[in-house]
Amino acid sequence: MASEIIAVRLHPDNDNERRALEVLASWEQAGYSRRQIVTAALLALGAGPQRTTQFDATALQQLEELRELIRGLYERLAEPSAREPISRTVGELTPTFVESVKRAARPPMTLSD
Amino acid sequence: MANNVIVFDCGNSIAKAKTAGREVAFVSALRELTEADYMRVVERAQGRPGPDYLRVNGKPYVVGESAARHAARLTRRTGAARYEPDYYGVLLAAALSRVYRQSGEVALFASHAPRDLEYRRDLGRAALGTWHVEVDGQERSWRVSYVNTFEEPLGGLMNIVLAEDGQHYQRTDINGASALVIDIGGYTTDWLAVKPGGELDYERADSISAGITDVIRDFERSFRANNREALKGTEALTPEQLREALNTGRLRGGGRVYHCENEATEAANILLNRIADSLQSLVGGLFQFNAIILTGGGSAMLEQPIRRMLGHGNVLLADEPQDLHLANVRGGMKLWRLYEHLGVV
Repeated sequence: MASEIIAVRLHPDNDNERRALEVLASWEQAGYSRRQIVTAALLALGAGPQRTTQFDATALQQLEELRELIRGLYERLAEPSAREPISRTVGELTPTFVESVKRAARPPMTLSD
Repeated sequence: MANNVIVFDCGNSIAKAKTAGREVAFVSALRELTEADYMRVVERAQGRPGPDYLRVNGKPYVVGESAARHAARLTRRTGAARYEPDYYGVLLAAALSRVYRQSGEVALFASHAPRDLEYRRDLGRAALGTWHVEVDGQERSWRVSYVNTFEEPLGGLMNIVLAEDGQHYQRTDINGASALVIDIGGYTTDWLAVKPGGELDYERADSISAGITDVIRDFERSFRANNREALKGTEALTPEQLREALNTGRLRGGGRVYHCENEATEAANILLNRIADSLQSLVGGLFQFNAIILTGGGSAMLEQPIRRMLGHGNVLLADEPQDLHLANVRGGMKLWRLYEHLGVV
């Protein structure tokens, strides 16, 4: 089965949409793809339109939790350390690898050359 | 050196760019416009014709998908002929206008095919300088004061090997083994061998002038010939349709599923046989490699056929299939972070 394409427009003149764009940019900067971010955000919202339109006590609680999550995310993003890439790391680079990559580096070109 | 770093891959078919916070990809096509044509488009769009219509250092251009629609008058340069300010520089300026909202000083980390290494000075000259861009009712300037380069397959390799910080592995299974990175782009296919321990083997890095564009053209031609009625009024198949067709032999469109195994196999085989022959004669076959890493947008289009052709037990993708065209710039950003850490840029 083919993937479904979901496209939305977000405009920086709209406050909420601008903040959404900032959140998107921050998570992308942290190394996540748009697909991962949107999937995680939708999962956090709950399971499908029938739940979110009922606005029962559970759904409202979930929404409140989501608000908390977003608030916490904004606070984290305000800290410089939170802007460092979040990544899955499994080991230190070996000296052979580092030396090889170093050798692959080319001389820079600048305006003053 | 500038704090803003842009990684740019001016592919023959798709241009890709990445900064710390944004990624963009657009059709690598450009056409210079007359002042009258440009003003007509701007007026029709009430001053905001979108990112494809721009004035670079005073000259009006159309780039990307909008330029590709005017194929007859298109300026499409391939290989090292692209490395001129009026082509590479303009496409770089278009990329800068899409990734940065503010003017500023920029360092460029640009990729090129391994065989273009001798032309990297031309690339540098084409990019260095100030790019004044008017687009969508806004005027901004970027001063590209620093340029460095890396080979495209190296970007694919770094994307799969390095973590986001560029200072750790995100997987170590490739590091201890020998690997071959194959980068299938629009018009070229490049490869680069990696020795056990991660040493890059530049003696076994090369390119051939064949890519996914040839496969798509051949497939569309034969599929259209066999389904004229269904495709009446359809200009081009979508990338998703093509990817599914070339990988599964089935194409969905117009609410139906078309079986196109023969067209897909025939179109893919011309390219795959050329790649197989080249790898055999220039690299010495695949048995010596513990892993084969596929990168570039063409590899995603042909993932299943190329896996069958390679017949190798450990074929890895440099990124998710739908993002494989971005693997080289993503890996380029990781490599830049490693270079920064090592103090070599």
